[in-house]
Amino acid sequence: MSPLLNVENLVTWIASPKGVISAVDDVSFSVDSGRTLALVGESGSGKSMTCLSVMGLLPESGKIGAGRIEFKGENLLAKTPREMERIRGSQIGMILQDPMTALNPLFTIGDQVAEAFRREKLSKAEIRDRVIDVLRKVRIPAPDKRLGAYPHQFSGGMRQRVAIAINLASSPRLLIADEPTTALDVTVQLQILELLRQIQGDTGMGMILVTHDLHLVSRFCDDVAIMYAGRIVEAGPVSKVFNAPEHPYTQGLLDAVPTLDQDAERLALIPGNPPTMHNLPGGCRFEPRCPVSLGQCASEYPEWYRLGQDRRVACWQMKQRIA
Amino acid sequence: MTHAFVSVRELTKEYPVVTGFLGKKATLTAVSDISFDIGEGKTFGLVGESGSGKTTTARMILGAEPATSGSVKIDGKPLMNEKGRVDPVLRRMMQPVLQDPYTSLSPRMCVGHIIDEPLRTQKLLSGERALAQRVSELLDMVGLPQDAARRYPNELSGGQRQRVAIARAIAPKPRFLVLDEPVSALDVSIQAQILNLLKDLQSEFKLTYLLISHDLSVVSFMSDAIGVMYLGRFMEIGPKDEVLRRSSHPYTMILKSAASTDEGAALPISGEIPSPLSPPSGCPFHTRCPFSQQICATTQPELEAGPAGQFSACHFAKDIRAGKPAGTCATLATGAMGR
Repeated sequence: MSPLLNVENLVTWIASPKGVISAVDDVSFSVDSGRTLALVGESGSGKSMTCLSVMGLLPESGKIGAGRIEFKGENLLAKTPREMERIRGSQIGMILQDPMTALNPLFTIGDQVAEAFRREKLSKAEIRDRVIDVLRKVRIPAPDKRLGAYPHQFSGGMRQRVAIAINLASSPRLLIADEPTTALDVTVQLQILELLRQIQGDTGMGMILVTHDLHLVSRFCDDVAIMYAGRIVEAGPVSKVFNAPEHPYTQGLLDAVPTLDQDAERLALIPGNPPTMHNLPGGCRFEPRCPVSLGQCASEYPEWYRLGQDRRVACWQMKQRIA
Repeated sequence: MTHAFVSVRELTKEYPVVTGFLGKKATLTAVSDISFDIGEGKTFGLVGESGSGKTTTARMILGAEPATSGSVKIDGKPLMNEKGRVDPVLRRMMQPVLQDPYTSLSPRMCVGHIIDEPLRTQKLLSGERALAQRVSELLDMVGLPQDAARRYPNELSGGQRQRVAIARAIAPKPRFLVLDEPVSALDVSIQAQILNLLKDLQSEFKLTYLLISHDLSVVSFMSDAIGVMYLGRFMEIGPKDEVLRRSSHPYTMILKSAASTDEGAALPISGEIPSPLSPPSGCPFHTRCPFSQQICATTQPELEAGPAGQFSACHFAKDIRAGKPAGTCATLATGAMGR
């Protein structure tokens, strides 16, 4: 069975005043129906650009340089903008960090959710019923009374529910959630992710969750791909990657997060800063910060090493380990 | 007990607000009856969701916001003098570090100037050479290269900017820093660097910290004592280990389960923080508490002392602490013990 979404060797260029950078470089991953893939990385690591490439929503300065993006076996890169628009409207949904930017402040909640049903030939009453139905699914209390409310009358968590409802209205097969809960309080964060997971259970949609929060990944995701400076450095099932991280960056990242149980005086840390995209190291991009770098690392980008069927790591250290 | 360097008593902040079409007057209580001490060289962590009153508390302690009632003493002296002004000696002793290093640094000043500005304006140091010398020391302390002095904030990364903000804050040799979400705008790997730096500076200069964060794991890493706030009140307050290991308030437990990676530990919570304009009757948390009982809706629980120095504002704190099967509290306690 082919996966729902298959991205292979994706390269995305962004033109900037300082020259062209490859914001996404040779990125491959796939998402199956009913599963959630976490794209994890720090700011500037290319997570969001990867998603925008899949959605066909790159900014004007962006361009896909190479690779394939297949959705349900169809090549998305060969689609016209018109066709992509239709796919976005019905097959692939997207939720952004700040729901206020996704909602139009001038229209009521009801109008904005109803948008998705306008294409179908339904009566006003039918549309209303459907809208109420979707709002109920995202657990907005008393949805029939909230139809006429405007986004500013809703709290952050409620707005994010509306944004999810708008996406659900078209029952997408794939939902891309780009830091959907970063702007929300912790207790609300969990409610929203729990809601997404329930919806996934009902509809079997595939999900990509972009996040920098490793706690959320371990609680809500099936698979994870760790990105650093535009590339994936390690990928596999969350339980395996988090329990036994192989890439020094993944290890550093997991160690750097303070946890409630530890009694450490200091946090383990990754020295230095991520590289600027205009001035990338020649070999492995993590090499300048890597505690275990080898001679080869500075000059050659590591190959993929596979661990079992479902894990891969891009690190020269693996060469000795596997041989 | 160490000598309390910062002592906050019954601090309350009310804002008069005008609501509705007819201009009805109402009172918004942002902070209500907050008391705590911070020992010299110690860190007190204030944790809570947005709108819980953390930042208002910090602003009152800094003297940036007059309190409606209550008092703040620093180093044994009242923060406000007889004229109702902030004591200038105490003001010099404390410095804030804010969340967003992108907006808290002037984009038009070079880093050297940002750092020496407080020294110039407070006339703590004069002479270009002495100032340059001090800036160079400060850059060293916060782990920035010497050439950073001539750079501008936009040339620096988020982590480097926060280092500049910290250098500026410690420039006048304060004894007390108010850290308002100092790492929430930073990436994970950078967060760890800044937290370690803050700890190093604390032990080197015996600094006292008030740390504000929504992230319980950050607060837990940094603090000696923790206060958990909800709608302007303390739900639970006490030594870190007591509050985190032997929590006796459902809200603390929920925050704890939210910060844990263990899925089984999740406690259910519904809804969002209510508006402080119309706070719930009784216990402010009862509308969202998975274990709320009848009494919770009618009677507001007072902060009551537990055995080991922590205080909890929950009618069932004793049961939770004992892990006694008292009604629904049984589930609660086992949920907590499971961790």
